Amino acid sequence: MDMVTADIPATARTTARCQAYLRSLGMDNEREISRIIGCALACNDDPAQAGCPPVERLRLLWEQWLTGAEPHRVNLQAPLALCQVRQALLQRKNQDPVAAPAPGERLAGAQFVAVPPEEPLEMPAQPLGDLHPLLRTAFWRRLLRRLRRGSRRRDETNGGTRG
Amino acid sequence: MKPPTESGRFYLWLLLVLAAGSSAMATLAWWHISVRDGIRPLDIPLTMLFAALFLWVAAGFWTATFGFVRHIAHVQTPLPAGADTSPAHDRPLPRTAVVVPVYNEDPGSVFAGVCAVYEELQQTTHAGAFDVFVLSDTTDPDIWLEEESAWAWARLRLHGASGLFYRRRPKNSGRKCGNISDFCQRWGGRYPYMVVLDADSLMTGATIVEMVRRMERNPGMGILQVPPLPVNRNSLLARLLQFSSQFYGAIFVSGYSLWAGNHGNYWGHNAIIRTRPFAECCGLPPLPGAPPLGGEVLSHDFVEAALMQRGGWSVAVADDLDGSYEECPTTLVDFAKREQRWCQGNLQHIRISISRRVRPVSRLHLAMGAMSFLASPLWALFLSMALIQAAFARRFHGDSPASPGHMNGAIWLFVITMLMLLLPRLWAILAAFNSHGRIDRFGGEGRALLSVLLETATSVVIAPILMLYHTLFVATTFMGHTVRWDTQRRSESRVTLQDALPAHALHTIAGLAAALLVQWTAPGLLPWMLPVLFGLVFSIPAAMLLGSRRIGLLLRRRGLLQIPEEIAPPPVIRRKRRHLADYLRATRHAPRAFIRAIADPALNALHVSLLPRPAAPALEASGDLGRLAQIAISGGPERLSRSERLAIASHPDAMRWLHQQAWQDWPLCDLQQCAAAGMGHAAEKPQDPGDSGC
Repeated sequence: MDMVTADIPATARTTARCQAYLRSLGMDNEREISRIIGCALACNDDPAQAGCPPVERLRLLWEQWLTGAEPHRVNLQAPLALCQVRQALLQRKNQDPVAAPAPGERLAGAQFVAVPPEEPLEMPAQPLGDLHPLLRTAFWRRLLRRLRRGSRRRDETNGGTRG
Repeated sequence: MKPPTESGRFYLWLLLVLAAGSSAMATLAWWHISVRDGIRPLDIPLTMLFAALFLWVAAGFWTATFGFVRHIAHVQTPLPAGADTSPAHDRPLPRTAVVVPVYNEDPGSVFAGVCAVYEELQQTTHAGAFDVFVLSDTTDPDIWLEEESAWAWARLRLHGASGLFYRRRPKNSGRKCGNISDFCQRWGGRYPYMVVLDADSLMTGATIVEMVRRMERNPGMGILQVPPLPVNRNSLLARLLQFSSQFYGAIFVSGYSLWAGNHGNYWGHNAIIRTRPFAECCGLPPLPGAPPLGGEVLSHDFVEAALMQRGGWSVAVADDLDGSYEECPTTLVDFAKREQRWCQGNLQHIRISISRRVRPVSRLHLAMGAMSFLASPLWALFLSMALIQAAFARRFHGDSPASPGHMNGAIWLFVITMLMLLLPRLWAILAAFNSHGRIDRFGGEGRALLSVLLETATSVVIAPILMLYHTLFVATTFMGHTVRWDTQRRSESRVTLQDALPAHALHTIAGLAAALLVQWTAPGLLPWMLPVLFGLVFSIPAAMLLGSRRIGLLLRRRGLLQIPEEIAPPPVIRRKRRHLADYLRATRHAPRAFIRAIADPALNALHVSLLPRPAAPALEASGDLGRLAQIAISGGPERLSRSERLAIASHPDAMRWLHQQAWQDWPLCDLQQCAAAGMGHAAEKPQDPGDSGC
């Protein structure tokens, strides 16, 4: 579900909510906000309509950032993209306030990633916690058994039994 | 390649001989005093306990003495065999990860510290060699979402910060060592070294770079630990801990570093680790047997050091490096909580210390770790048995333990024991006077000496309280109660009577009962027992005073208990304070993170994109989740329990659906407030509710 094209018109149906939503995205150019809302409301009933450049461009940016990148590269993209859109809009206001950056134009140098690509290492569990042989009862039992066997053999070798 | 580790053990053997020798002499003296009037039933167990306790005190004394002598004689730690001593300042550094494992910590403080360390690294000439990872094991949904928001805040604040990463594990299996192990298994191949920091650790960029250089110069070194100095706290207890750690700690660490050499220990953070050998040697299995002594390894650091040494890698303590900091608990209860967490872990080490295939020096470290907790019940047992012995003697033989025959010898033994405990303080004072400018960094001669007196007096009060705590922890651990591994409370808060009463009622009752018992059965022992009884009886007011920030700050204004970082805070500390202040200002009026993650489009999108893929089943197929999401919209997220909020926050469809519904149904004013505190704004300027227009 894409938020900008579908959500603003569908969920924030009043102009006030549209304005609040766009401001919450970091936009502070009132003229631009009004224009976007106008366009968004105009294409509300026909999301496939491509006649409203700013919203469409925003939508494309969202899509690219949210779904277009590799899994490990999808993270802070959305807010960054929006901040950059805002920056771009502000920078261009003297030339053409409506013009947003082309899709992908500003993505290359500023990809935010949560984690870099993985390069795994094996981490096998190590043998640990087996008691030292001297502390094992089995060790002592075996030792006693051997001693007993040894003493029996000695007794037998000596030619008889004790007692 | 596993180069041989340095094997000079002269100082270790010297320590063992000196500690065992002084303990044997004191024990002989004790025996002669005890059996002057004939051998009584408890004389043999009492003598054994005395020997064990004196050995422990002697080990500490001789360690401090080594440190003092080393300071005076400028003895250097021996370099490991094969170490490259040529300067390597211009060589490029290999890739190094700075990893910060966190578990339900305060995100603002964590990311303020991370920003400070990141900025420090950026200021070095090797900035490109370092990446910083915040490795979250957080289970509280609000803290989790706040971490994501704080991470975004940090990245925007640090102008993109392409090397600042965030990873959360949905299940915190294996706790902290599982967290680090997960990092090694996923990214260990990228980074020859990793610097492990705690949630409240700070390190300067220059120190981190120097740590990497030392690892490069010493190809056989597996772990290099830089002792962290406690800083940044203002309660009386915290300032006492900070002062004692810095003023006395230096000679202890120096002595320890001398006798441990390249067979030292790892303290879990503020250390650099060679990643590949660590992965090969330190996969921790569950210990045989059931908890508390078997099962999952709770205190991993000592064990990992032992395993690295078993694999032929050296572990050293860089006591000559500074720029390594941490924060300490601010109240007695928090201190005790931390001790309880460590207690079960350290007692588990008993089993490992008597296991197969552990090097003798590692057995010593593990045994010393366990002894740091076992000493308290042994001390309590010793005092109880001495009391019983005196009571029986008085009842059946009319013999007072304070008779002149015993008195002289006992006083001498008492004086020697006290000297063993107090001389390290004198060594620290002499070392500070001997070192150029050091005493001034603790407030000057007069104030430093007054601070030592104040700290010594307070430690007499605290020692019996901790003795009883440790005894309880050891007893409950051996009875099979496992530790609840709760988060350490790191913020400073006042200790009220309501807080202190339940925490210290047992101490007070035990102290009063013991005082009455001593007076009734063996009044001659009362003066000897008074220091112990005083701390116990007055533990409630003591806890309130020690937890007081006001008293801590008052002493600070008077120049007492000062540490160098209070007089001239280093840039990394100043940076953290600035980042934290800005973060707190930016989020002061922000609703809780769960609500913001629903209402703020940027945080919602960020959170959804961070959830692990493949995504969870569709919301419609997730049974109860749909109902819970409805409740969150209609009644507010407050109506959901923590586990319900966690389930929703873990489901991307649920979070998306909540976002859409919130923008349809929630009051605009609430949405604007969330938006005003949202990610797009928080990094730029502080917000207040007025900004939202409500």
